[in-house]
Amino acid sequence: MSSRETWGTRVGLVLAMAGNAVGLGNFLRFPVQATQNGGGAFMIPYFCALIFLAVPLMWCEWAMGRMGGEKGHGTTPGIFDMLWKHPLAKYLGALGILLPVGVAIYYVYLESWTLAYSFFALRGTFHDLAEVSMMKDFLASYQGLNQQYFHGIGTAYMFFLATISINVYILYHGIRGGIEKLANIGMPILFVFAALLVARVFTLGAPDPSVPDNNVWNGLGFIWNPDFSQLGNSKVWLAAAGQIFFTTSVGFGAIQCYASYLKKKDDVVVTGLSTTMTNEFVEVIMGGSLAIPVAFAFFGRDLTLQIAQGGSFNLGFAAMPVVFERIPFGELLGFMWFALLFIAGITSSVALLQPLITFLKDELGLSHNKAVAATGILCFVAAHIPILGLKSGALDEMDFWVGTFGVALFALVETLLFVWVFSPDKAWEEIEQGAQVKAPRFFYYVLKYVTPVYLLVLFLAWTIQQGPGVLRMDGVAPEDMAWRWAARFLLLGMLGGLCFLIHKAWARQNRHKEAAA
Amino acid sequence: MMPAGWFFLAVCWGVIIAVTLWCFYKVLAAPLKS
Repeated sequence: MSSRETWGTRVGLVLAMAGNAVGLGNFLRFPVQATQNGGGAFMIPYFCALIFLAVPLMWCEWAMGRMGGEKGHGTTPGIFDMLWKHPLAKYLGALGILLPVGVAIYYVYLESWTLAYSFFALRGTFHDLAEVSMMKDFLASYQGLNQQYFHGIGTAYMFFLATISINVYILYHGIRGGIEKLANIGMPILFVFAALLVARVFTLGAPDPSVPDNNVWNGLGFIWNPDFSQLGNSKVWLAAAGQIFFTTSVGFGAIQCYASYLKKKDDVVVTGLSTTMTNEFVEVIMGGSLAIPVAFAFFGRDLTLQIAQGGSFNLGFAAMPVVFERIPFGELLGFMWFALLFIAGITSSVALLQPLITFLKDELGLSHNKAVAATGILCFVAAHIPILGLKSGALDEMDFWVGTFGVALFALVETLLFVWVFSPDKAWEEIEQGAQVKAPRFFYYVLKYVTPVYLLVLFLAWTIQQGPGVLRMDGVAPEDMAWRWAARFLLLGMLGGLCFLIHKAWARQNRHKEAAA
Repeated sequence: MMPAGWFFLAVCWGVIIAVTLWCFYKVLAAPLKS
């Protein structure tokens, strides 16, 4: 077995793992979710989900990854095979590669929008678009849905090519020289940009003195004023668990992959908690203080509610540029806003693509360059389905199957395998190995009983609420079905391909073992 | 913002900042094992 790469520094590892977790959702999804689900009261189910779901699951994934890495398995096919001596185990692990790569295929495209908007903000491209509705049309035109501002999808495609090239370039330089360096440079920039934007937002006061109630502090109240009546609503608890689940990036297989580059005695308890708390800092403190408060101050309560109900992209790509147009140095602030989204995006997308590279290297013996090239080509080719089928909902289709159904299923499977099949005591021992500070024993019981039940409820709720409708394509226009089917076949094809590669890899490894014997 | 909103903000921010600072204090205190 050839020696595997390792992380250079502990801070670099924390920043890279935090970069994996910090994504567009921290700045766009969280404030919308909090606003729509009880404001300050939303934080009660949110913190419950953090303690009972995210933290234990995160420790499991870190421990699993480190354990797999010791034996040369950086991805879940190999890790699951170690946990459960059953021929099926390694095929279940295919999900830990399919899900991150499946998400990366459309995530890289979304990320490219932030890169494009950073340039547009600096160049003043949308300088004259003073209304949210105009910015919505601008975004639709950029996506190729109308011809008002862009003639076709060419500009968006160029930025997509640039974004995927940057991703491949970083991955080509490996864990230490690429991903860790990106995190060491990118994450501090993200913190500085976010802090400067928050400082600017907090000094805005009431932008229109004739409407003093439309001010930043009332905007913060829009997120934080508690509506306790919402706590009796199961949808609020599900939304909070969902937000925690997505924001901490558990249930994808990406954390295991990064953790596989740890050494046997490296701590996972404090290091893992540091990444989760960094993510929470960026989400709750920085993400919660930007888009919604500033939108409230400029547009008032009703329009902000409308914008929030229109979704995260509406808030980030339509409302925020209009706000920046109305304040001094708006071009620069707009650039900082989209640049920080781009950094948040790229530190996540490299983490999503890395598992396939690691799998190809660890299990199939491919060279690093070949593994990166194969991953880049797959992502580039497959991304044409969500790009060209955006209007038909191909991206939404993929997002449901990998980003909602898939992650909940995978998280449930990995927890059951690690905690119940591998045994709770061995799992706890694995987490505590090399721990700088012992994890509270309380979490042993949480991990054993509460987390699996939490995950089962989430999985069943999402599957039952959304699954049948998505599966039957309820409300989908007949002309849009082809693209949605293309998205499904893409994911099924990738799953089949991965299972085939896993079969080949294990046959190859068995041949090597026999030859060595 | 209502007083209850300020209360929730202060508690959540306080907990997150305190735990994050403690984590980074520990992380900086002990590098990765070589």
